[in-house]
Amino acid sequence: MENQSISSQEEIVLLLVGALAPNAYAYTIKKEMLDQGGKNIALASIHTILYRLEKHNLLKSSMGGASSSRGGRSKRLYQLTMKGYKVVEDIHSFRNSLWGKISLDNIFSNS
Amino acid sequence: MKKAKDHRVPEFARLIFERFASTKWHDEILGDLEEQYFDHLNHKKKWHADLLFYLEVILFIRPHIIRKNQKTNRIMILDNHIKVSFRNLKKNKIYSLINILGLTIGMASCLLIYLYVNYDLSYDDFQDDQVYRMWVNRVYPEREVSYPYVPHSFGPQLVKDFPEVIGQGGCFKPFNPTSIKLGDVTFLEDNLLFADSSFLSLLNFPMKYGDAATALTDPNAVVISESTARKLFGLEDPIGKHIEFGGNSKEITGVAFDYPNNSHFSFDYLTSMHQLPFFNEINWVGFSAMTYLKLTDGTDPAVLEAKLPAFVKKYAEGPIQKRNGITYDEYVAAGNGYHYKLQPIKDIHLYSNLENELKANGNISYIYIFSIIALFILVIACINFMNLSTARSTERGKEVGVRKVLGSEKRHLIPKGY
Repeated sequence: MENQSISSQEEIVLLLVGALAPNAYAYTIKKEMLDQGGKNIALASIHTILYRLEKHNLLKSSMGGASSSRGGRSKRLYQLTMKGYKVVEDIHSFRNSLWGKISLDNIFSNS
Repeated sequence: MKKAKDHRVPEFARLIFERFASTKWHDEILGDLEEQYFDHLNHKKKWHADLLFYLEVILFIRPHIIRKNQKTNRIMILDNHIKVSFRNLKKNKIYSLINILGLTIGMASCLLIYLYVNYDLSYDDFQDDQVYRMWVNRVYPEREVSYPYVPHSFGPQLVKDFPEVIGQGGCFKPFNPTSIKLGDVTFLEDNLLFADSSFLSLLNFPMKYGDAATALTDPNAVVISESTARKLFGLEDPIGKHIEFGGNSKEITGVAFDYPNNSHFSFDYLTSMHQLPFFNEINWVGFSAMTYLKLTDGTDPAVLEAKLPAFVKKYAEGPIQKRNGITYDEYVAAGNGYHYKLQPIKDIHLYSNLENELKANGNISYIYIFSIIALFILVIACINFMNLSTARSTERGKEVGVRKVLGSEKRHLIPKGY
């Protein structure tokens, strides 16, 4: 299914996975969301979004290395799949084309 | 990154998580949680970090994280059973209608009968245990009658003669309705009682205005019920106002809260019986007043009842001899008799069967009969439901077969009746 519709939160998570690669896992995504977007989202929500995206084959995951800051527990690292990349790229180009049609003159003119 | 080495994640929250979450998620999620917890510790107070940790754990209670085991599996099977049941109901509409309607009507009638029985049993159960009413079984040479009325001098004299009788109150209901006049308006009222001054306090009448102990001391006083007060005077306090009561002006000295319906009496107007000259005379033979007696705690009414014949003989002997011209013993020998008895006030509605009661009484045998009928209806409805269900169960054999093939365990099928 090429034009898979996803929610804006899912879209942001997809983008963050791309941006944070190769160190994208639930907690870094959450931190990044807080730092960049100022949105405080529960780990459980991020986890659920990741789980769903992986089920739709937009992401793939592998178990990554453990670090002492997480009590020696390993993490699940996420990566965009080709399909996932396609989805965000489609959204991006769609938005770009819309932005191209917006002109400030038309919006604020007193016609 | 500075690390708080001496801190560990809240143990209890971790245990909760490990309990509900499927083990395949344990590592990664706990790792994330722990990383976040230690990050929080760097710039938050410990209790705050703990709180956030708990919160995050609770938010992780989601379907895909919860572990699947036998328990959750059973819940899912139940879900399927419910679905299949509804499909079966839909498939056989008439049959379902008869079956469910039968059980519903059975249960509904059972509940209605229960309400009736319960209401009848509740009569006067708010009354004082130690209050009894006198009644008399009057034997004449050719017939006998039972009345709830006894001579009005008995009550006060019993209090004087027997220490176990600590209070008495008398009342009677007139035979004819009385006209009540307020200004130009006249009402014809028949729910009225004449009582002596101790009647209100003996039966614990809750008063809205006025004092139960003193409201009826004046022969020209009248106490009205709350609903009557509202009818006559609206919401204002009617104490001290006058109404014309059968031609005489009377002062309202009290307003009593409406007495509960599940009681053997009720009144709209309560006035003093001493305004009638007859009640100021001594009377040992004429049945004139319902007499309520309050006994001390632990007094056996049967013991007092046994003392009553001597009491009656002592006081009624003279008047009877005077009226009939023969001695009391000759009078009794001729087949006359006054048998005075006591009945608990709570038993009046269901157990007493006297003439001239204030309200229609119930009957305990009806209570038994109705209860048995209710029980039978319920049993029959249940048996009917069961029969219809089992009769149809063979048609669902296929479903059971499929379930068994798909690996249902026996105990999963038993709740469906197989």
